[in-house]
Amino acid sequence: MACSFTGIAKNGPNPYSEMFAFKAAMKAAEAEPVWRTSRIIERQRWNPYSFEGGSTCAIAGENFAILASDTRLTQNDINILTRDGEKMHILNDSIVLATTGFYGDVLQLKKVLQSRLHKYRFDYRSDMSVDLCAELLSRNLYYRRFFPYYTGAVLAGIDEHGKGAVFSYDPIGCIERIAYSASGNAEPMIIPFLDCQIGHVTLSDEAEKPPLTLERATSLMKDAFRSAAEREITTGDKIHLIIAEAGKPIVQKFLPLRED
Amino acid sequence: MGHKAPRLTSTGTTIVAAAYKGGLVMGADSRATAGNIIADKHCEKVHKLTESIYACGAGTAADLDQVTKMLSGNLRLLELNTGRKARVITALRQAKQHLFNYQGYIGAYLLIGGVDPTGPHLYMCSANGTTMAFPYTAQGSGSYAAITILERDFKPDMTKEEAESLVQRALEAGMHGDNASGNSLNLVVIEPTATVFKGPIIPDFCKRPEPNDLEYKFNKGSTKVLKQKAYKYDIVESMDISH
Amino acid sequence: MSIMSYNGGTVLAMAGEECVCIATDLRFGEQMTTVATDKKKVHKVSDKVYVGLAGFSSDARTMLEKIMFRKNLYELRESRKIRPKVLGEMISNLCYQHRFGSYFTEPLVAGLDPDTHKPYICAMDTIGCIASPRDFVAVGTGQEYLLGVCESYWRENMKADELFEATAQSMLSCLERDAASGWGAVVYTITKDKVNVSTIKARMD
Repeated sequence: MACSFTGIAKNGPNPYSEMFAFKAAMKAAEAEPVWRTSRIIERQRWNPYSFEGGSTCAIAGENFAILASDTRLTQNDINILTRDGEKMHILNDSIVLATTGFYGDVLQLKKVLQSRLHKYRFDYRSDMSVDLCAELLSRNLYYRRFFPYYTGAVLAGIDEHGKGAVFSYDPIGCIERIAYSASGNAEPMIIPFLDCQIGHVTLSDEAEKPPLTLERATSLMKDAFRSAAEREITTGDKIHLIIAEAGKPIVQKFLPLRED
Repeated sequence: MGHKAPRLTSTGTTIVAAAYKGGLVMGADSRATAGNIIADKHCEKVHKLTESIYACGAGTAADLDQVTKMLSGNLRLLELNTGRKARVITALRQAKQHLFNYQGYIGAYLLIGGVDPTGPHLYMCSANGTTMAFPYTAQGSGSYAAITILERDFKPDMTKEEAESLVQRALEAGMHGDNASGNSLNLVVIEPTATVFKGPIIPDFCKRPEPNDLEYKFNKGSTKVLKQKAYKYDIVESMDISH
Repeated sequence: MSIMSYNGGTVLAMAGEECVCIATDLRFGEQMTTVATDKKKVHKVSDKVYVGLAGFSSDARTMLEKIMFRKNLYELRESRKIRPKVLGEMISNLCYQHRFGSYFTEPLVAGLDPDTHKPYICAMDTIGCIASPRDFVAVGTGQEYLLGVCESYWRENMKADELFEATAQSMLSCLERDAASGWGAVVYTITKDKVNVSTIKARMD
């Protein structure tokens, strides 16, 4: 019998196999330790998004569109980054983009839209209309279907017929033209209020239903934000109000909100 | 994985306390939040433990209510059994032993302070049972803003007025800079002879800057009623109402 | 999906001048499916004291039985009517007894003091942290929707019929947007001499 003096049979099963298996198991355990439960992995996973809170809202009228947003930007829902952040962007004389969500994506999205609008002016020698811009925004959002711009966008303005237009989006470009819209943390507080006051859906047939004038819409918008600031912690500091009326230049206003 | 736990009311809070010559000022804001929404605008976070020992709380609101309720009960019993005023260190030890027993699962972060025969004392008690003594401190999500004011302006042996103003300014910094704090503030000034509770104080930036534009008054008949029934109360004559 | 929105449902209470209103929706669902359309989440505890229980329906029912048991025991022992504040405190303690395995229901108490007719409303979370403001409280899946509108619609010292309209309109606005609540609503207006129970017209979905 051929034996080496280490006492290992040459033709038998590899006596090191147990050790190799142990080493492999150690390596695997090091790469994926048992204490790394799914919960911990979930917690440690890198997240490319952050949310800066706040809310925006838009109302379309017969010949006007009003947009409003608060001006507070928040980190981790608790910490105030700035008290006069801009969530609304005037893209041209008849288009305004209002946004919430991840502010980094908001800025990038705004830049993309602005450059496309700029190019459009060169190519066609006129400003883009709000309907076209709405479609453009939808496509830009859907283009990033699998790594979306995390924004709750609302696009509003005056359309080619001089009527107010509000377009509402989800982060991946689902588009809808509606009479009023809100997005952001206080959306659940603002929308039912507008349903009642503008849509009049909760009122009986006999009840008085005042028409939506520019003054009433402005007042409703302010009150909606005042109420939201009372109950929602990331909404506050200032109301930024933008009024676009057909045939008139866009007007901007700032109104105080509670700061706590 | 199981279901998501229900959202509990928590007091993402600013609580502040500072000692001065012969006494102690403690204070808290009054906002209780559940996630992003304000669950209670005027909740009481300054809890009375005994006549001259108070506790301010941050963390899970229900835990704070119950822990301080338990402490005040136990301390009252202790005072009655011994015939003396309870000491701050007793309150602290009871709190920490209770909280340590529950390994941090009772989410109560307390500032316990007061005046007893051994002088003014201020302690912090964490949910896991860690305790520390301080001349001045702040807790809660607004503590970062509040502590800046304390660090800048605290002096040993301040007067009562100085200490009160300092605590109020620290609280206001917390309420201003922190989303989860605000609405109004409560103060308690504890001295060997008397305890004075002040509040709710509403700082200017916590007031509504403008009233609503429109009055939302619904006329009778705005809501369509399908069916209505009125229930008159039974008159019970036999029941004893001498209370 | 959270257990708190498994069955759906919303309760709202508003306080006025010597009157309170408490409103409930009628939907009972299992996640996205509606199972019943006549499920009231508001229960009479005594003549002028009502309790609303939103959240997981089984727990709400167990909780209601415990509440009624304790309330009956209290009224027998003390031989007087329970005051809403006492009931609120009682339910809060009941909730906190189950701190580390709570009933998945958020109770809400609304009522008038039997002697002074002072209105009292309170809401609590699942472990019994009481919030008792002077204006309005809401619990359930539509809480956020309600808090926004109520903030605009509530006014100081409303009379019973004003209060009813404000409560009803707030509830209807909420039902407009909350998918887990709906299928009609019932509003209880508690005044010092009677309780008005009104079924109001709402969207049926």
